[in-house]
Amino acid sequence: MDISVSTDKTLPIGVINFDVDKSDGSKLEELPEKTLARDFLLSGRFTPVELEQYDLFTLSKELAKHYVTGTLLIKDGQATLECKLYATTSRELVTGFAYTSSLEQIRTSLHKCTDNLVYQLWGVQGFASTQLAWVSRIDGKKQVVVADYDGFRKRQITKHSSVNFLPAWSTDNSKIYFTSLRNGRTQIFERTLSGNMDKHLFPQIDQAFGPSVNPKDGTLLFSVIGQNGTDIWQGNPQTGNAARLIYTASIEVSPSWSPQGTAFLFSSDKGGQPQIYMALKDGSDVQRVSFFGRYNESAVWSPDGERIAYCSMDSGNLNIYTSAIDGSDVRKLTSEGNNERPTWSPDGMAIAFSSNRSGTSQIYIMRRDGSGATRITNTGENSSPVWSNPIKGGIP
Amino acid sequence: MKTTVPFIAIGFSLALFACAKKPQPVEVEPPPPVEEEPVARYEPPPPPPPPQEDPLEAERRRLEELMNRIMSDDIYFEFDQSTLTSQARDILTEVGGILKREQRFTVLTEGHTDERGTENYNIGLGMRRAESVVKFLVNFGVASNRLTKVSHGEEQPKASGSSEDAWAQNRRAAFRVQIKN
Repeated sequence: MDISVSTDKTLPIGVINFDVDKSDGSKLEELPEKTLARDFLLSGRFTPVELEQYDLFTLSKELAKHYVTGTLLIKDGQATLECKLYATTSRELVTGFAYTSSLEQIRTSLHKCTDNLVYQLWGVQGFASTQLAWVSRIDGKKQVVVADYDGFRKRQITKHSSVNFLPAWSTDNSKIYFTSLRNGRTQIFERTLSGNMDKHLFPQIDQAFGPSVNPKDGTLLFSVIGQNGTDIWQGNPQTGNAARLIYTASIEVSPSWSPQGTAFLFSSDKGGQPQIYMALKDGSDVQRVSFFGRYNESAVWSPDGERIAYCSMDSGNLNIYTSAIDGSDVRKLTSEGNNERPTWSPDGMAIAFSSNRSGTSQIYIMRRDGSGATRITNTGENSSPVWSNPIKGGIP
Repeated sequence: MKTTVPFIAIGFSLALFACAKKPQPVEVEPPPPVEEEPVARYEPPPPPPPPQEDPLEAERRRLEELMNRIMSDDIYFEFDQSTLTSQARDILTEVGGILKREQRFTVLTEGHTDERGTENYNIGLGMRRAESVVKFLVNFGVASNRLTKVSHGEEQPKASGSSEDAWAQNRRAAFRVQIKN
């Protein structure tokens, strides 16, 4: 865990061991307090104060005005979870949530509990119930996987034994768009998560890759290898229609929609090296955004529309930065190893990315100010995380 | 070139004979009738076809050799560059020569990069490398409709690892040759 100092204010919160009754011998993947404490840490809103039991002295010293604890009863394949929020000094119950589920869904219940507590204490929707898609090397091949945002309950989505990469979520999180080299060239495919068929999109285009989904109308921006350079196109995955938006003799890649779907970021090396630009939805009014550094790429717009996160290369290594949308107020968030592919949490409080700082490429989540970087994958090779969209219907 | 083929075939059968002969120790007295006996013994399965083979087969083998030669000629690039080095130009001159002589060959050029930089930009960079190669061959006189190109970015490294040596091998353009009928 990174111990760098957070510039954003976080709320200390006590997490006291749950009373767990699994007298029927069931095994737990993780104790409830561990899942909750990680949720709080990754949320970018809390600093968990983990305790075995109530301890007024420690809670007060850590300025935790509230604490969470509860019970988990596992019986006959059913899990009953009670999560309670108490005021530290009075020990009065503030609010509580109860969930009954199968054993496999205990983590889901705990994430719901986190999101309810985020809503209770912050008045906004958290992201503990969201998911990440990323690329995992399985039997030597890159495959798209989907998991809970904390890396647990991972499942393989693509199966074709070629390169499958650059995933993107559909607006309702029911589909993944991705790029594959299965036919010897980059092509974009659509996969419904509940199905098992990969649909080749835009077959009229020879080589296309790296889609970004418009959060409002679901249309895609992507790169197309043209006769002269690599261009940005827009396409409708439903109708199959597609048209060029940005085309020069240079390399234009990594389109990324604004949160309202009215503009987009992309990279172009028309100045010799890749730099970040912004354009309106129809490709007009192109403005340069990045001015510092030789190689700036993979820009993504924050959910509130006010900042961008991107990668900048410095002596061969990429690091993650954020800046205001006019390119000012540049902040470096990573410094160890190679750090790629930032993706914002739906509430903009956290950024997931991949890093080889531990020796192999793994997925990390850090707060939006770069503090609290926590590894969420441990085995194999994992890269290119993409956060799912906010859960429709608001609070769980 | 054609003359070397029978030469190799003869040399090979002699070598075979020499090996087969060795184990027989003292008993053999006259070594002279070397040529006949063992050859006759091995006659039933004669794997090396006679030197005067089917001309179609010879042509097929000649083309295959040329195709393999082109496909083994990877073109290497400097970091983040797509300009051709003088070494690359030498190799491309040879490849271009073969392509001008063998008009039925069509060539797919695959552009690749090392793992540094982003996945998306590297696909663009790989394409630019393939474009450099194709442009050279077109200027050399190879018809552009015989030349296609793709980019695999950093996705299909030739050498694994994160060393300068591996990176140098992965920054390349590679050829796939087909014969058009």
